[in-house]
Amino acid sequence: MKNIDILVDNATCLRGDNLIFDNISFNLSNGEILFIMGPNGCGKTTLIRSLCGIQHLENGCIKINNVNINNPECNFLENLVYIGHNDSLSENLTIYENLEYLNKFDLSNKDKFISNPNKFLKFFDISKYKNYLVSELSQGNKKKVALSRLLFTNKKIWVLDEPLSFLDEDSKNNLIKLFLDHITNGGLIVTSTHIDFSNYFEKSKYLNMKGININE
Amino acid sequence: MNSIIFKKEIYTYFRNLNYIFLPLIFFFLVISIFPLVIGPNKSLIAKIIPGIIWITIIFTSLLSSSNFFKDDYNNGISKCI
Repeated sequence: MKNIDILVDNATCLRGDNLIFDNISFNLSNGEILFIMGPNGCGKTTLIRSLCGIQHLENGCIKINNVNINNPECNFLENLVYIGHNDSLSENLTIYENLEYLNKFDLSNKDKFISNPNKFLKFFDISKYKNYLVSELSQGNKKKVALSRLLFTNKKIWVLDEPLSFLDEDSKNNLIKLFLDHITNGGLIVTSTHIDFSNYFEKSKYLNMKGININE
Repeated sequence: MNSIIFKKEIYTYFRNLNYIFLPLIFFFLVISIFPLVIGPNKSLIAKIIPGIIWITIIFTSLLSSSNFFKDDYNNGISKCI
């Protein structure tokens, strides 16, 4: 099994003149889950975006397997799935077409979804909406489609932004089961959440973020 | 992978007809208004109309070129893959 370590060291992020967060440090290795908690606007999403390399850090660094993610040699995206709070789905495609598209771009698996789509659509119980356009779906179903990506990826690092929002109880339990499976298979999960579900996990870490400091 | 991108763009365009018709309407509007503005000068119109058509084509493609990336950016696909 491939070992993966994520190290965030003194991360500081500014947007304009506003300090979003500063001096955030943590490390995470295989089989661990990190919950990022805090009030609205405290920088959870920004931290998650900087983990994916989308957000520039003012100070500090993020290393995966001791290689800085800004280093072009660090192919961390080959091993990282990011699902943001907007669902990364094309409104004008059906559920099936969307997942097919995302599957083609996911080089970690070899057309796993396309070979057996019904198996993956059943997990979150969305197979009946298979040929619906995403724009016709409810918010919860959109979230389920977005999360279905996790079922057919072989990537080890999952970076999720509020995965539990909009989901019903059954789907929440399914998702937590999926997380447990992933953790026991040696994966890593970074997730921001408002709902504490750490009691399901043996090795969980917390990151409590404070509020934003606005320079007036 | 190229074929799947192509397929996605084609579906996006044909399920969203305003992507196709808005530039077309713009194109014909510009072309038809030009002679009205210039006046009934046949030889002048005959001289400049090919240039006007080409310039309008360029502007029209500029108008619709933002659609290529705007959707992918807005719904976050460009961030997640």
